[in-house]
Amino acid sequence: MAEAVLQVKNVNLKFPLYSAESRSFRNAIRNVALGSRIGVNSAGKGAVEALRDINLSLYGGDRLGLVGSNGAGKTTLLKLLAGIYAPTQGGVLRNGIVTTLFDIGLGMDGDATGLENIYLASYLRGMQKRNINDITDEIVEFAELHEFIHMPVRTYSAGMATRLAFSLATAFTPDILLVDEVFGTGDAKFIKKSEKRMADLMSNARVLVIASHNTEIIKKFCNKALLMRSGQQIKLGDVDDILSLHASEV
Amino acid sequence: MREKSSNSIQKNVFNSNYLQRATSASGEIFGAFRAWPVWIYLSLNDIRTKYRRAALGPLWLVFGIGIALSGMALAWSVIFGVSWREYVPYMISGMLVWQLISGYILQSCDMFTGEFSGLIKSLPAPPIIYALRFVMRGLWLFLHYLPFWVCVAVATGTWPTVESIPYFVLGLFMTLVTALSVSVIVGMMAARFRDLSPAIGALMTPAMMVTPVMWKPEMLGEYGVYAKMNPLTHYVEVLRAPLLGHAPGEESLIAVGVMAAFFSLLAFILYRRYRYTLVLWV
Repeated sequence: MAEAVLQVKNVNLKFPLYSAESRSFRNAIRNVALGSRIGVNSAGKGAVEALRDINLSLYGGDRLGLVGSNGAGKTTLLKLLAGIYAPTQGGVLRNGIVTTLFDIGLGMDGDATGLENIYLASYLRGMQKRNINDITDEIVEFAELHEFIHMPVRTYSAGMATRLAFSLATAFTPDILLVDEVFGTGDAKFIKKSEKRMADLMSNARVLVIASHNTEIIKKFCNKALLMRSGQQIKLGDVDDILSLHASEV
Repeated sequence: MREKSSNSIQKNVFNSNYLQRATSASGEIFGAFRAWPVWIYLSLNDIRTKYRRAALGPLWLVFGIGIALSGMALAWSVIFGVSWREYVPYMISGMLVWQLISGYILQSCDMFTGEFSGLIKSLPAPPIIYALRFVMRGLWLFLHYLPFWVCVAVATGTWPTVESIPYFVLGLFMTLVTALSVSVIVGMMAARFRDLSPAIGALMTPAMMVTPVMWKPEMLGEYGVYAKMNPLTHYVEVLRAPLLGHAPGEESLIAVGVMAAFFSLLAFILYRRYRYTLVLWV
């Protein structure tokens, strides 16, 4: 069997709860001074179980759609896959470069020009300079910005800014692409264009994981789906089966 | 098995995986260092952003600080009854170095919780990359003052010497190593304990008073020895002495070297332990 590109083994993820109480220095010092047996801080302690017993193996060509209601743990699972969160128990194995499309305008600087923003965002995503040089023309053309690319992003219309953000976020194909609910930017024409680009991007990545409430998107791009509920994986399987199972739950 | 797209632009261009989370903390830190174009570019952009739409840009900083410091230095040379030719360069170099050091300490409190929190929460990059960006930004700001220092040197005739410049480079290097470590330590602790940031803010002004920035340790007479117990004294010394044209005291060099090593070790331990917990604090 081929080597898994992305593998999650017996993962549990707990988030500790921090209150002002437990975040204060005074309490930390008092706890050390009095010893834990006093339990002064007990009210501030606790943990939320965000993910439980997650097991996944994704191979080259896998396109996984995450479905589930709000709070099911879709975004948390994506962040775990990205390496933003580390599992409390279990392990995550990544064989390749990961890129996230969580927040499209991330890292943009309104005072910088469009061109400078291309560099900013690309550097933040781990690109190298010569590769960025290669793709700037393409980004500018795709975003339909022309000479505006030398103006500060602050002066752009909302549509122009999202077009730029979308174009540069989707300019590179990673091995593992993690997408959280991004679609629908600009006017009807651009939406159509961006769907095509998104489709190219997703089919070029070795592994795609996308979380969406939009069943059309899952149907269109995915060949597997995972239903989640309260941080647990309910069922992994065929897209249509999972979507109808999810629909029957709602 | 996967279909090839006609879009030739969308090819794999990630030649490096330096900016990815690594299994080991040391691997992650090493990778972040190797991704130097990233943090150099980002820190330079931070500086550019600061001066956009300002015609004179960085010159304002130099004018502002230049006028204030020159006036203060002249006044204090009279108050202390020291020759201005000697005191003005001493105090101005001290203040410039102090700006660098205190800027690092103060701003590192909000480093992870402020401007970088959004990035930490949504990009798979190691958080140390933001500390590197932060330290470089401080260095660029410090280098702004060099033209002003040249003016002071011309006016007072106090020049760095060929022998003292290597000491300056060494002192700056050790300071930057410390700044990186301290920003990681303070940045993480201030994210976890929200009382730390106002506490450090409150302590920085008195810290300047007890550090020989405006006064000389000799002025304390027999109490001068207490100034040496202040770690900041040694950081100011290793950077200031070379600017004034002489080698820093040996004990200051050793103290700074030991502290840089100590803070680096502490920062590494904290980073290894909390590099994945940080995202929950910011």
